[in-house]
Formats: sequence, C-alpha cells, structure tokens
Amino acid sequence: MTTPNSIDSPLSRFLRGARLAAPMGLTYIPVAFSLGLLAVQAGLSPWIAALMSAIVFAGASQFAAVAMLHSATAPLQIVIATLFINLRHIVFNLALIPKLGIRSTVARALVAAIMTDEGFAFGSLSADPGIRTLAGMLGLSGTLWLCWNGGTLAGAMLTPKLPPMLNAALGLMIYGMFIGLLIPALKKIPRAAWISGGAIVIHTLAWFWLPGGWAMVVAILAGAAIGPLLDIGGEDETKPETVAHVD
Amino acid sequence: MSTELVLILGMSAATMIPRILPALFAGRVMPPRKIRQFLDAVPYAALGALILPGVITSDINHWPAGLAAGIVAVIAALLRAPAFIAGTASVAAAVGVRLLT
Repeated sequence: MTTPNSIDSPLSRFLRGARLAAPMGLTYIPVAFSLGLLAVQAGLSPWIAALMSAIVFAGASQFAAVAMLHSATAPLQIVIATLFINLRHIVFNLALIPKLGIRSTVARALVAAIMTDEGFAFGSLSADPGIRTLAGMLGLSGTLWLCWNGGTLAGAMLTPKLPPMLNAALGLMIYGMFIGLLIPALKKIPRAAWISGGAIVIHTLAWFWLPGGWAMVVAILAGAAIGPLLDIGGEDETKPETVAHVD
Repeated sequence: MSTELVLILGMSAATMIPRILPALFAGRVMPPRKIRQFLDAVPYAALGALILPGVITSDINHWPAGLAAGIVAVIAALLRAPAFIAGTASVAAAVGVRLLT
C-alpha cells in the first residue's frame, strides 16, 4: 500500500518542479548565451558578466543593462532602470509567496530571491499543487537559475554565435509557453479573461507613452484590480468555495 | 572596487529588494477579501501583460513572425497542448514565417 505522503515527498516535489522548468530552462541557454556574448562585447569582463547572471538573475534588466552599457549610460541610471523593470516582482511575490506555506524567513527570502517571471507564472498556474511548496519552487527556480548561469558563462567565455534569425525565434519560445500556460488556466475560470484582457489593453496603450518597466507595472496593477470588481477569487483557502458562479 | 562590480552589485540590490522585501511579510496576516481577490488576479493580469505587446514587439523588425508565433501558440493551447509544445510550435511558426518572407 502506498500512502499519499510516500509519493508526495519533498524530493518528489523538487523533481516535479525541475521537470516542469526543464523545457523553459533549455530555451534560457541560447538566450543567456547571447547575453554573455553581448555583455563581453559591451566591455564587461567575462567573470563580471557571469556574476551578473548569478546575483541579478533577471533577463529583461540584464539585457537592458548591456544595451545601456553599449550606449555609455551612467551606472546609476542603469541601476534605477533595473529597479523600475523589477517593480512587478513586488506584486508577484505578494501574490505567490503566501500560497507556498513556508514559515522560515530565510527559506522565503531564498525562494523570493530567485523568483522570475517564468517561476511566478509556472508556480502560480501549474495544475500540480505540489509545485506551490518550498521544494517545488526550489526545483523549478533552481533549474532555471542553473540554465541561465550556464548559458551566460558559456556565452561570455566562447565566441561563436547562433544565426540571429534562430536566436530571435527562440526568444519567442517564452511567449508561446506563457500562452500555453494562460489559456488552460482561463478555461477553468473563464471570467478571469477580463483580467488578462484588461491588462493586455492597458499594457498596449501604456507601452506607447511610458518606459517599459512602468507600462508593465501599471498594466499588472490595473488588470489585477478587475479581480475585486468582478468578485473573482479571494477564497480563504481553509474554507470551501465561497464564490457564487453566475455564468 | 571596480565600477563594473559596483554596477553589478547595484543591479542586484535593485532586483533583490523588490523580490525579497514583500516575501518577508506577505501572508503573515490575512488581508481583507478585496485585497485577496486583487492578489489572486495578479497571475492572470501579469501573464496577459507579459504576452502582449511583447510577442509582437520583442523583434519589432520581424513582427509578422511574432504574430504568427502568438497565433500558433493560441491554437496549440486550445488543442490542449502542454505549454512546452505550444512554445515549440510558436518557435517553428516564427522560423517558418522568417524563411518565407
């Protein structure tokens, strides 16, 4: 006889997290590889480029930083831009961390420190609740971290280059995976499409007149505000379903 | 300390503070229902905002490839393909459009 506990051990959850992240991690490698290359071309030493991936671990801000270094932007401006690009993580972690049931402050800080857009998306919307635990999230984010750092290091050390066309196409992988994650989640809660749709409209409008990081933050905040307006979610997870389904 | 190292440490702080600070107190108290509904809505809003306009603008000079990638991913997801398959299909679509145009 097997008990649920013997199947759902922390090791099993860690491995399920790693397996969930593996395809995404594979697509990180060529992206990180080109980041490493560009960083060295922008004048960073290879070990600084590798250190950046290890202790920043935020794709969009790292590419932005490398582009700004290329155009000789002052370090302080790069740091401020990084802060704006990453403000969305405040809302991400406020939303996801309480769902993980982690009591230890150090463990919470560790999971939060390596949380990326992808880690948040998969962690929040995975059909497997075992991912939303300390072990599950460490398996998920840890795998992404290893791939990101391995790729950066290789790109910073080596010189060959993928064809730019293949590189750009691989960059689209993440969007395809986000779509593949969002649509099944919306099928379960169709009314949440108003939230996603609202965020898309706001982001598209804001994109024209706000800097990238700000447009994203505004779109996420305004889109999420549709949730309370429609009275979706907000269950106290210790109680049974309390939302009235009217549709 | 070199300017490079100061820059990287500054970037790390600018990333880690927004990530770690909310995690330290999030969920220690039960927020009101409206706030919980707001936080539950964040993944749906974030995914929407991450997908568009990014899928079109990530390689703006070849936006038809991005558009094709997005459409193919939607079709794959509606056909119940796992996220990884939807992603792979979108890359294949983008390569296809780039080769044709």
